[in-house]
Amino acid sequence: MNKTKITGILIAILGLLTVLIPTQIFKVCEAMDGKFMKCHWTAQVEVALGIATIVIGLLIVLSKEKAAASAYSLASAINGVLVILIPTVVIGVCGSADMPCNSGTKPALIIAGALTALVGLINAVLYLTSKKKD
Amino acid sequence: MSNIKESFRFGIRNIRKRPYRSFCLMLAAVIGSYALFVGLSLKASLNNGIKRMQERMGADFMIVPEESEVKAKNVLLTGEPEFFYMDISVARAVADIEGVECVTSQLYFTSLSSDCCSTRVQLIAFDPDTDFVIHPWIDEKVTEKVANGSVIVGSEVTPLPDGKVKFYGNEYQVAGKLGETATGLDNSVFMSRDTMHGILNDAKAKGYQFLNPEDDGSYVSTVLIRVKDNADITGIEKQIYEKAEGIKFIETDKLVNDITVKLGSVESIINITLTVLLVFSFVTMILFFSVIFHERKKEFAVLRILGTTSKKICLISLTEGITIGAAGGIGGLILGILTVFPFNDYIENTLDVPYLMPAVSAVILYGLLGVVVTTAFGSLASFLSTLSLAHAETYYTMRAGE
Repeated sequence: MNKTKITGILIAILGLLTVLIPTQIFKVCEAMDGKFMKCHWTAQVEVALGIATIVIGLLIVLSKEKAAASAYSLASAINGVLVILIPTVVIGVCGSADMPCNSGTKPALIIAGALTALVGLINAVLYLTSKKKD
Repeated sequence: MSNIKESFRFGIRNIRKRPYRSFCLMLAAVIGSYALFVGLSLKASLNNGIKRMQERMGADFMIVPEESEVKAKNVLLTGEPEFFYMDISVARAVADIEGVECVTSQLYFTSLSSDCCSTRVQLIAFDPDTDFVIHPWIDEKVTEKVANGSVIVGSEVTPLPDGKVKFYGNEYQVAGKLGETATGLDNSVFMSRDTMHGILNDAKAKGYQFLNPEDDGSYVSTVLIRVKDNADITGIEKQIYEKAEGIKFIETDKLVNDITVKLGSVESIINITLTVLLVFSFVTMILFFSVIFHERKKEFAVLRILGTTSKKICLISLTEGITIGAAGGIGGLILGILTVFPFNDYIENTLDVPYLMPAVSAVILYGLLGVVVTTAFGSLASFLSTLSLAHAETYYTMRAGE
């Protein structure tokens, strides 16, 4: 198995983790009195971002051209940054440190997002700087 | 010296040439270092938490309504917002008892939600004139005095950017922040009785309904007592029960002891897991190195034929062991840091016991210890595996299998 496929699978796994963190591993808060809190909407967006990252990872595995693979890697890096920004800046989570979304989901998503961004960026840079032609 | 340098270069090249084999070996070191760092940090945090709780308890005894003992413990240990009330006459009766050094009372109230925290928080009204448990903990003083209309917040309560907290639509100035106590009080907001009265009136004016009785000054939730040195505790307890009915006398030392027992079982689980993972890490490394070096017997024999001394071969394998142990140790440490620091609050909420991270110097020490131990594991495992090959005759090794 070549490095492209391994990186693609790794990005797809990180995407799957992004989906599983707010829904299964560190579940966000339940609705209170029928009212959803911010973390619920954060989870919804993260699931969408996670699915997009899985698709990008699979596209990296399937891509045969260097330029395409590097573009997909860059896209996964951007997705990783978005995974971090959603619970921290864009939507946020509940304010109290006691809430599971704040103490569990948020740090887990930040780590998953950072890893996705790092792997995607390194992969893109490696593709762009490699001398081997398509 | 050049011998060592050359052996080192050779060892590193061996590791780089076989990335999958090296990765598997490193994984064992990662597990060992991770277990050591996380295990020691957890143990230290638990011990630190109970120690801080003991220090910050302030009072020797608490008096609470008879049926509310569990609720009072919940407020103190988990910060779970609760409210319970008894007549203020209990506080007055206790003050006259021989051996009692100081007495103060507190009134608990539960907010529906606070705009700063998006959740219910425990509001505690204390008496600034008699208080001996809140003031000594104030870590950050914003204003010199806790004026009427201002509050003191627990270490985990985050005020709004303008330094205020909001309850029922009204903002209140934060006069100070308490240091970490590792108890539920870290999530509480403290204020004078008048300030609480103001909050309740504002809330009622906005249409909020409360289950609590009217705050007309005749109720308290808990009475906190500090006794003089060598005071007759049993005598004091007896006199309190004679003077007041429907109350429960809680010794804070006993409360701490109960938690220490609970902590003991958590610590045993950590100890067992830590030992199992460390043994697993070491045994796996020995097995891996033995199998790998056994497979590389011919490679070592060729080196011997080419004139490499046994000492140099030993140095090469030692370099591999040290490098793999150290790299795995650093990997485990990074994973450990990613577990212990970001999930600090999650671990605290899950364990449900006082939990407070130790000083940074101690955490650094645990990290270094993890790396040193796995490096030692790696070097020892590679050394033991090389020793087993040292006595083999080069000629027979080369001819083996023919």
